[in-house]
Amino acid sequence: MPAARRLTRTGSTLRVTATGGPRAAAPRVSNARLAMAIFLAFESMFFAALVAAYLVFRLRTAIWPPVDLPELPLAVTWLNTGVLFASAVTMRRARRAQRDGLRDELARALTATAVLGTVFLAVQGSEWVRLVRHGLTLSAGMYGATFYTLIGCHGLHVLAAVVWLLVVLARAQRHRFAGAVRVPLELCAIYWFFVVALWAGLFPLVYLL
Amino acid sequence: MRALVVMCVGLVVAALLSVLPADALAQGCAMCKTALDGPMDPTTEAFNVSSLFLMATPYTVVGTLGVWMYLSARRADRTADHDDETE
Repeated sequence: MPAARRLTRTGSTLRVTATGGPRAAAPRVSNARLAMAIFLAFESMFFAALVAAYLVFRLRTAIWPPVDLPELPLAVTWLNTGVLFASAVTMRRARRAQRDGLRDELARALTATAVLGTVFLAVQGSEWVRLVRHGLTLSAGMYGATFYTLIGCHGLHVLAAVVWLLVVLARAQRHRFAGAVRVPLELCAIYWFFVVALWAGLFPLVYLL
Repeated sequence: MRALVVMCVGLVVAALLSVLPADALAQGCAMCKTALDGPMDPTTEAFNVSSLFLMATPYTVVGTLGVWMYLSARRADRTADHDDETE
C-alpha cells in the first residue's frame, strides 16, 4: 500500500505508512551536501579572484614567460594531469563500491586514489624544485609570483584532499560495513572532483595560454 | 490603531529618506581611473577581461549550485516515489 505524505508546519515531509506511525523523511538535499556545496562556492570565488589577477598580469604582458625565466614543463605536466584525472576515475569506483557494499573494492579504490593524488603532488613538487633551480622563484617578478600563488594554492588543496581521503580510508578499514563511511566518502569525493575540475581549468590557463 | 501604525512607519521612513545624501556622479576607484583612463592598451584590455570574468563567476557558481540542488531534489523525489510504490 502506498505511503501517504503530509507536510509538517516546517515544510519537511512526513510519511505515514500502513504498518507504522508517521516518520520524518530525509531532507531532499542533505545538510552535509548543502554545506559542502556552499563551501565549494566560496572556494570557487577564491580561485576566481586568483585567476582574475593572473589574467590581468598575463594579458597585459606581450612576452610571456619573460625571456630570462624558464618555460613551464609541459610534457611532464600533461602526464601529471592524466594522473589526476585517473584519480577521479578511481574515486568514482570507490563511490560505486561503497554503494554496492563492496568493502575490499572500496579500500582498493580509495588507496589507488590516494596514491595517484600523492604522485601528482610529488611530481609537482619535483618540478617546482627544478624551476626554482633555474631561477623561477616566488620573487622572480609577476611571472613567478602568479604561477606559484595559483598553482601553489591548488597544490595545497590537493594535499588537503589527500589527507582527507586518508582519514576516510582509515575509517573505511576500521568499520566492517562500507555503509559506515557513506557521508564522509561522499563529501570527500565531491571535494576531490572539485579539485580535479579546478585543475582542468588551471592547467590550460597557466601552462597552455 | 492600524492607521496610526502605518502613519508612524511612514514618518520614520520619511525621516530616514530626508537624511540621505544628494545624488552624486558615479565614481570609480582612483587607482583604476588613473591607470586605465585612456586608449585601449593591453593593460586596459587585461583589466576589462578580468573584470568580465569576475563578474560572470558569481552567476556561474550560484547557477551551478541552483541546478545541482534542483536535480538533487528531483532525484530524491523520484526515489521517494519509487519507495512508496514498493511499500
